[in-house]
Amino acid sequence: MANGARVKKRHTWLSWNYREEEKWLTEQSAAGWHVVKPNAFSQELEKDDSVRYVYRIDYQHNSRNKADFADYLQLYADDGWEYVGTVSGMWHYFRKARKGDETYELYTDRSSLKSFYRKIQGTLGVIGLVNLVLFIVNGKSLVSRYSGGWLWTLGLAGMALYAALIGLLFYGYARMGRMIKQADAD
Amino acid sequence: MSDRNENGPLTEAFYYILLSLYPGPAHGYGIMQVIEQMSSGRVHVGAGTLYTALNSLLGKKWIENAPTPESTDARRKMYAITEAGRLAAEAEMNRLEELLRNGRKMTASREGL
Repeated sequence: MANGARVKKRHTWLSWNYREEEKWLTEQSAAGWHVVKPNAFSQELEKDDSVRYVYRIDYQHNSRNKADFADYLQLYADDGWEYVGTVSGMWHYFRKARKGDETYELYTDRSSLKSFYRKIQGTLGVIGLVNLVLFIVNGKSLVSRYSGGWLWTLGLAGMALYAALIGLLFYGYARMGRMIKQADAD
Repeated sequence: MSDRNENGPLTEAFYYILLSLYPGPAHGYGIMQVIEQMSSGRVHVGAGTLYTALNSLLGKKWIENAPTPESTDARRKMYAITEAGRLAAEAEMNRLEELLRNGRKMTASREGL
């Protein structure tokens, strides 16, 4: 396809699999397809055969403070990282044109990699706990109000789905914990 | 050994960031370049590692924000080493000196046999 052509591809990922998303984007780029604007569920890719990028995803809670965020982007830009965009204001996508055997890591020591993982783990833990509390409160009111009726069946299905989501958050928390341990062992 | 031990060894990044600020305040990228020069290209501190380290050094009050001079892009924050930061760097140098001294002593005693 000609340069400038665009396609949409479905691709989604979960916090603890952010490396998979980096890999997928880098592979797409190796075939000449580069992401236009990051999205959590599907990616719009644009054809350009003149360049190949390596993608990296960072996680920061700094996008609300303008000066902090500008300083952050500037530092990454100074190190050659072009800002691609964000998902949820916390996951930040960067890319660097691939040349030779350079290393392409944002985190170059164990201590900073571990605090990066801990930050992700902390968010998963907090969201998990908040939702667990909401789940218990809503579950109780559901039982007392609708027990027996058709709304009860519907509510039950909703709650089962909700429970699965909360389970996923705690699973992610455990996965991040394992990655922290792994970083120590490496 | 725990990462939180205040008197424990500094990471290479922490140590080199503190050293790079002795001549005067610098911005993140300046620090990165000085570290690469100092270590003859051996140590490249990644952007994520540097950003994380600067924030935790600010948290420990070993460095502080310095005013941005007019010649520098206002987007780049400037950092300066504090008195506590100098103490930490010097404590680390004493620790490293002890390691080296003991290393030299022990390897020399083997040769002397």
